[in-house]
Amino acid sequence: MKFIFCRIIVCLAVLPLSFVQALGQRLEVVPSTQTAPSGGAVSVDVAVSALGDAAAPSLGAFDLALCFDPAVLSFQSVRFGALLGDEAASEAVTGVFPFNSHLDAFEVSLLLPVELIAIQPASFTLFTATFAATSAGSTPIELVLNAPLSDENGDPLPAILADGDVAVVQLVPMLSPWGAAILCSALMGIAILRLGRLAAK
Amino acid sequence: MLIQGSRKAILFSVLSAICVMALAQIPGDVDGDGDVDRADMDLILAARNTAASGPDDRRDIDGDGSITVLDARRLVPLCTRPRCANEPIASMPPSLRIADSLSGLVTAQTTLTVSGEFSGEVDSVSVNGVAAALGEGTFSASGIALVEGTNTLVATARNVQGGSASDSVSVRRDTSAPLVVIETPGEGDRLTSDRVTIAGTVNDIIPGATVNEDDVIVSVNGIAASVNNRSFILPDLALSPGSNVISAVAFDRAGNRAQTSIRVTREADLAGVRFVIVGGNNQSGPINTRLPTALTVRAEDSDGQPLAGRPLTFEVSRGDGLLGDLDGGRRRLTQLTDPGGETSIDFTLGSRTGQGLHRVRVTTPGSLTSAEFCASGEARPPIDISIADMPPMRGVAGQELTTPLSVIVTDDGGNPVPGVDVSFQVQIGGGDFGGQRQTMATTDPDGIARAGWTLGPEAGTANNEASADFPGNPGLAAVFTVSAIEPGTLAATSVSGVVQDVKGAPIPGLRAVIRGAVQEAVTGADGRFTIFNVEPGGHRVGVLGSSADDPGAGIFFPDIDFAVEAVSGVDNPLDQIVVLPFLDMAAARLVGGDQDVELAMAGVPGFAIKVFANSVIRPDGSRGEILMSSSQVKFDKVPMPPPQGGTPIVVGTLQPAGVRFDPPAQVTYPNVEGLSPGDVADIFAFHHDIGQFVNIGPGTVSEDGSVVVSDPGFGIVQSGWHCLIRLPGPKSNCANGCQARAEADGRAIAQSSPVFMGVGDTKTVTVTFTPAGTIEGNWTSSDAATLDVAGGSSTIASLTAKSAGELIRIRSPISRAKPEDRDQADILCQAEFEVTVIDIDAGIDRDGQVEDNDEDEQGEESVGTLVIRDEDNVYSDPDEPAQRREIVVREVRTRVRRSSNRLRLFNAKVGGAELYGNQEEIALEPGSYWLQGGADASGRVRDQSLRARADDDNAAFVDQINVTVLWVQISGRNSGSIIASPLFDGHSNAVDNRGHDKLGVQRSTGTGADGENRVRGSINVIGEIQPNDLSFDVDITSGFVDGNDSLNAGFPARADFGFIFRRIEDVNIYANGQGAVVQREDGNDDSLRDFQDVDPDRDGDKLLIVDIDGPTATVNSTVHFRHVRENFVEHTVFNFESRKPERCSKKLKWAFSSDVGLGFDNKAVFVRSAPNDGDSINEVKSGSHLASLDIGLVKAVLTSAQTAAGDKKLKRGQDVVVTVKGTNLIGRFILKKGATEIRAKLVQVKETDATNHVSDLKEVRATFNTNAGADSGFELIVRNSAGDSNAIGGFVIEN
Repeated sequence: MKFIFCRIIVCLAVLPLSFVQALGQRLEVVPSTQTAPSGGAVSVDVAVSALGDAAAPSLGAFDLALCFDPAVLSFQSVRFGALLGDEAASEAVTGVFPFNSHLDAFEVSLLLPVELIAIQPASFTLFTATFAATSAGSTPIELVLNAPLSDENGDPLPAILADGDVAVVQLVPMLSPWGAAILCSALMGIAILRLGRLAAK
Repeated sequence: MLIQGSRKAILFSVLSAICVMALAQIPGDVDGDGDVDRADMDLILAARNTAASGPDDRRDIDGDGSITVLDARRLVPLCTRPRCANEPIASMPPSLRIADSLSGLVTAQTTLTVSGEFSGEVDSVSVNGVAAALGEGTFSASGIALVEGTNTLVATARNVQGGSASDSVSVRRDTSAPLVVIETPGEGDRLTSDRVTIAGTVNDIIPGATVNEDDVIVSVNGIAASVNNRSFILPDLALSPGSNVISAVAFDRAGNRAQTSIRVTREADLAGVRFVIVGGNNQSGPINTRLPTALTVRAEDSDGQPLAGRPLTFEVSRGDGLLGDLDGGRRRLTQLTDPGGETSIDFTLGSRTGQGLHRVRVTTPGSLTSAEFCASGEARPPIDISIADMPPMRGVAGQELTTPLSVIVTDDGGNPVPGVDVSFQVQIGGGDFGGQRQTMATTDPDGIARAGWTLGPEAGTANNEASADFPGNPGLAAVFTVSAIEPGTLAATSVSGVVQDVKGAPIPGLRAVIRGAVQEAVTGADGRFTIFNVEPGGHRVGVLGSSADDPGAGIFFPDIDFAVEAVSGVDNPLDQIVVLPFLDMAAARLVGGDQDVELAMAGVPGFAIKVFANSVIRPDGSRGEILMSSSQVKFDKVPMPPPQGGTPIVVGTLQPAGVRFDPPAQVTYPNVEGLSPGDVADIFAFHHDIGQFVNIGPGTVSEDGSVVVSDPGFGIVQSGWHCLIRLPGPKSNCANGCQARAEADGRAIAQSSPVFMGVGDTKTVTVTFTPAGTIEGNWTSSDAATLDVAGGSSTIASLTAKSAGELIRIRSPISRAKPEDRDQADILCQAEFEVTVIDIDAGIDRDGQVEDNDEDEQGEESVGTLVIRDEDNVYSDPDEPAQRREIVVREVRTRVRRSSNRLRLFNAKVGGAELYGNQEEIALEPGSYWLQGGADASGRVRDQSLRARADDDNAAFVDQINVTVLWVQISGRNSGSIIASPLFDGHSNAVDNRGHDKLGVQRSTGTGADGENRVRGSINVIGEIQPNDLSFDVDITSGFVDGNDSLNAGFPARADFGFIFRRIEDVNIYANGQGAVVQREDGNDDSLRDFQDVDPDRDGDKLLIVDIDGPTATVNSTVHFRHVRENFVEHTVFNFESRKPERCSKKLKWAFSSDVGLGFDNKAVFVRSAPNDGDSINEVKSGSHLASLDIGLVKAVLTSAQTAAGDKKLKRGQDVVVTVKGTNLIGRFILKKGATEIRAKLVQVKETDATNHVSDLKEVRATFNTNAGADSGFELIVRNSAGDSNAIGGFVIEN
């Protein structure tokens, strides 16, 4: 239910931006699709592209939500990149607020515009989010902008959002010969029973 | 409609103002703390993705109505620091240190190169504002100008991040050569011995207690002499047969050199009786003790044969020592020689330490020569510790004071004692001495110990206290109290002060300048000045009294300089009120000519300054004549701390400033201290370059004990303040361990404070000697005209006070006791104390007696309080609408209160809430009230506040309450302090047990009759409240040592505060159509009377009548107005000084001229004593100054002595005295030749009715500076402002 609610938010948030998306920067989840085993870890990058390469526009701040199906994934951590500034050197302010079905992440660069432009390439990773694959299934990783992307001067940047998908699979265990025989017998039994019922109808 | 429109306009204005204020905010400064930083960023991010509260929401930087990271991002370029940091980017903070070699440097150079080291991130270094060259961790600034005296060199390192550090050193520039005089042998002496001891005096104008070998090196004929306490000795200098030249050369630390020479003759075959010193010469011993070896001399004839039975006269030739073993007290004694031609005598040293300072000369009739024994006095064990140099009253919290604490330790002769371990200990405030609460320092050769004190971290008023003491001190420790402050921004640095005359009246219109800088200020009507934009660091502040001179009124003030340490970012008030004396120009004389001239000082009989012929060096460096005068300064009005904890006895000021004397001017003081004949006292002068009193050399008490005369070769070297000082140490006449306890009316007399008596008082004094002995001699009074002592030779005497006078010295008879050891000299003992007689106006009930029922009103001076207000235009033109204008007359008075631990608080709070004592709440009626706060029974006064409020029905009419602090009195034996804020405007005042002025309160007046020490101080601060807001608090915090310890049993500490609370009513309550309202504190509403005529001459000028007593009251005292010479805006200040009835009768003397403020611009003032009695009215007509008065025809007569010989011959540049007859003479003096006008400068106006018996005759001195050279045909014209003139023709100008 919460996942559905998050998708509604996505639609509402993205809608007013649609008219600029054609010209905007691209914000995408990388990789766009991936499969992970249940019980394993899933990492997704949120990357930006179509910025200027050591030229304006550059990304000065972002504030976005990353939505996922909590039945499939469980948030674990976020690691921000350094191209909005090194947080350890007080060059950027970051924040992560995990919720059940999404997480909010923002970063504001404290570098001056000229500094920011100088260090940013055309595309780079904003942050890497790590989830735990809690059970088999699939979930979209949807990007939602809490606020427009900010360029180096605090002006909004149009953005094209590209979500991703994660499939979590239940790994099949390796069976012993006796086990395989018992399993096959059971399956055959079930098949016979179902065929019998169909025939009775 | 019009009103609505006006309201809209007002509303618009208010909104506009709000908008302007909003716009005036720093963009991005969300939290409004004056900068844009991470804190502002956090506030934005905390509200991330929410709607802005409105268009003024500072978090919505982009103004889009929502708060997002875009706003945060937009904040970044607005941040006031890189990376939006809250604190400056961490970097190595700068630090620097001036080279140690410069600390304490003494040099004669005019400029100096200041170097040192720095570390951390430093972009620039400046020294006293001069940019320094930077090297690898070093800096060097050259060409740093030095002024004569003490210079504070401040080096400041700065970096671009705003970090800074500074260091300072004190460097003294000394271009004055020391003074050296050979005193023995004398010039031209004929000697028979092949060796002679050379002794003399050496001095240097330097700070410090004395001059020793570390200050000055003296050599005699190339051989180093011993120097101690401004004296030197070289024993047994070899003499050649015949003529010998003996030269003494002195070098000071700056390399300045002085030399003196004498010529003596060694004549082996000198005819007549000759002397051979057999033993006892060149001994040393503690002061006031007998030398171990008797002085022995042999008389021989010219063939070397001993002369038996020869009378030899021993005479103390230097110092206050005494001759004889059993007959002490002799300064001259004659003995016969024995068969071997020898005779011996014991010699007890005097009270002063020094090398060869105590001398005995031997003579005999018929001898062409003499012998002189020399002895040196050494210090005795210390008995006293006092503050040597007053530290700044304020310092930066957590930082070391710029001036170290310094104390001087003295013995019972007042001599500095070196080598004493002094313990400095922090008592209050959490500061430290080099990281420790306690530190030790040893007294130097000056007897001074110093310790650098770092204040505690908290800012506060008088919140740091430290003490200094030494083991075995029989007295009290020295206590320092300092307020810690937080420095502010550089631009907020200021220096302020209050300037008053000796009567306590503010001196307006006076310039106060920062020497060497452009900043200056002018005192306002309340005498205050504030010099803004002062560079932090050490400065000399010049208070230019001469800029407030009013020659027309015969009022002249001196200039004076003070050393000030300006703390960055705060106001730095001078440590005390600057009290300037009136210069006695009437006694001025021309000095520096071909004749010696002696200047007297009015009111101080026996005082004289002898200016030697051609000795004057004028301020411009030229030698020549100049008009100078010496004026008395009340010793408790000296505007600078007395030196080394001493008490100035006679203080004068020689003016104008900047005049030097070479040779020094001889100064003679009356021996009011009663020092022993031959005793040597110290003469001090305030050295304007050094900024403190310095010792200018010794003075010796005359043999008749009447005066103290500066020693030959010494005296006043520079005009300014001068005084005779007794250094700390009891005035003990009780050597040999005896004790003399004196009591007055059964109450013990403290040694260090005078007894107070009122005129007409009698007291019985008794003295008890231990051990008891035979009583010899009589009671004596140093001023029998003021205080008579009757008592025969007993130990009981009766004192009768005849007239007011201060510090009358009383001596008891001498007690002579035989010691158990008969070989010892008799024990001699004498009690000695001082009495101050005050004019108490015969008690409050004026019955001629000071009685118990006078209670604490004893000593109170009569009070005259006036409230003056004016309604302009009402009388002169009733049809015109009244314009309310108001004059508030404030009064500054001193009162002497001698309540005995009484407590009467006015709604006083202690500790903020608790009330105790006799609480008394007074509803303020129009008028004035004396309010007194005091201590509780334990003698403690802490955190007391006084609160005044008016709650009567007329409260709605009250628009102002003025509070004038009249006086602050501290009593009690222990140290104490009074701090008040804000009423006292940051002044902190602390006193020690002797009442020495530490921080601004006037000096102690000594011991009261009840045995209490006391300090009176007047701090003239006005506190005001808003109209109709009648509640205000005056917080007074005082810290007192509990008076109930064993030392103070019966002498509880106490503090009294006196205030006037005065309410000024709204002018509307008076509708009598008169232009003036006069009130007196008797409560009578003078305004309701109909006699007040505000315009008696009907000239339309607005007049003000002051009725001091109403129509029926008897004038018991009159008031004296001292005029205020400067315009003021809303208030003026008058001083009322009580006068004795016999002096002023019922006439009110007036001396008032000036604008009296808003509503009285260029209007007249009337003052009369009893308008209904038809007394004459002194009227000042239209105009703002007496100079504009109409004056009568003037007649000028030349009377100058300089012109007598040539009958109207004048010398160029000389003063000429012209006697001018006129009324209220104020006019011009013009020297003309034909139509050509020559400059003629008026320098003095003086009344001379004594010789002419014409009251309107004036003597005028004019100085002519004729550039025309020698010529004739000049004409002197005297002209008044009305154009009346008189001329004296036929002058001849001579070169």
